[in-house]
Amino acid sequence: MLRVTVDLYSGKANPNWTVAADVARGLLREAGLNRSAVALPNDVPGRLGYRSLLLDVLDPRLSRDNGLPTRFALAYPGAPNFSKGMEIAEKLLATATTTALATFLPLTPLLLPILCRRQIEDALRSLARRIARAIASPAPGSSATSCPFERLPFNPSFWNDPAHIKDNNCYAYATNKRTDTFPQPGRQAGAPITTLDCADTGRAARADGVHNGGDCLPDSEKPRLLVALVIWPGNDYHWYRLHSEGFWGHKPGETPAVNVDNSGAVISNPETCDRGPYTDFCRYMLVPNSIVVR
Amino acid sequence: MLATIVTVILDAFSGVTNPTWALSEKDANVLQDSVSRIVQTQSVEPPRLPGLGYRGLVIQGLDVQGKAAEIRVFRNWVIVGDTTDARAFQDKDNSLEMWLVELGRAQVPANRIPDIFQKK
Repeated sequence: MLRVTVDLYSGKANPNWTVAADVARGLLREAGLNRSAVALPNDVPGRLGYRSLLLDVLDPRLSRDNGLPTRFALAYPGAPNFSKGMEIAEKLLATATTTALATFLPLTPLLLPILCRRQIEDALRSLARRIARAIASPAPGSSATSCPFERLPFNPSFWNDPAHIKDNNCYAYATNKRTDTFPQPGRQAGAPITTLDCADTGRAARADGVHNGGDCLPDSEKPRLLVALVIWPGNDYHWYRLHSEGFWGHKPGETPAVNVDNSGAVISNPETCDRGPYTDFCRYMLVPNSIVVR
Repeated sequence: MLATIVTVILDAFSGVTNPTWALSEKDANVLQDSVSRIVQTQSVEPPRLPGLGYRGLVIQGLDVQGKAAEIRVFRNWVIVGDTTDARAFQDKDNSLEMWLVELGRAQVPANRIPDIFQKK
């Protein structure tokens, strides 16, 4: 037997249903023959909205016979063999129960018995549209670097604690080091910024141990954080960091850490968000866990 | 006469520190009188401050109606209190902000004044 979960929501429970053994066997065989369509759940990029179908193989013999993990994801944006993953996903979606589909609709369980065929079909179309949109939009950070990196959850209360908020800036936030020193790139390394431009600010950050986006960090430096550097020419620098929820967060100086830009929009792309006077987008960079900043 | 030193922070930056300067006793008293007059007027809706870029001048060490308060001057708004309990008033001719920036120019290196206030 197989449990299928549509990994879609951030707040409420995801729709899920079980697939009978006789149907599951055929689909698991197909997944096993197409391993490039499959990934471990932790390897699927985090994002808001649809992320993947998650499959839990409840009979370990079935996963073993097909060379599959007991829990895996398919039909996720960015998968090497996304089209095969979608083929299998469509067959799985056809087995979805009324109860699972009702989670797409603003209905209470009491109304389930009176769901009509039209509403079920609308729910299926809604799911298909969500998946199609997910295909069209690449996962955040996917074009920023080919190096592996990790995303931490957005945790504004840690940064906005009144005891610490005024002593930690964008660089503290980007490197995830709440030093209470209002740290500056290069200061710890004795190589501070001398010119407020992309080249020199990047140099100073690299002196601290930050890597350019194409210069990968080893696994021993997990979590490796993906950050973006921008410049207000001649005036200041600013950093963003990618979070597991799929958006970018930042902390403008002494002000609170937020995930919105100057227009109030959630930041999905630091290259195109409203950055006010920070007009120069410099580059993506990678922060090692062992970095020391001051 | 004010008992504490009054300081002004030009709140604009994210990475580098904001320029800060202290007011002379004479300037501090002039500022206190101006603010005391402004907060007697009708309060208005506070503005939405930008996250990145210039966010106003933060003044510390003044009294408002007998209590120590942090005051933010942003364009022609004078904002008393923090974001959860802020009251805003109008400085109709924007003279307060311009005056404070001029005082800052005398004490802060020119390259620390954001380009929006740079003299052409």
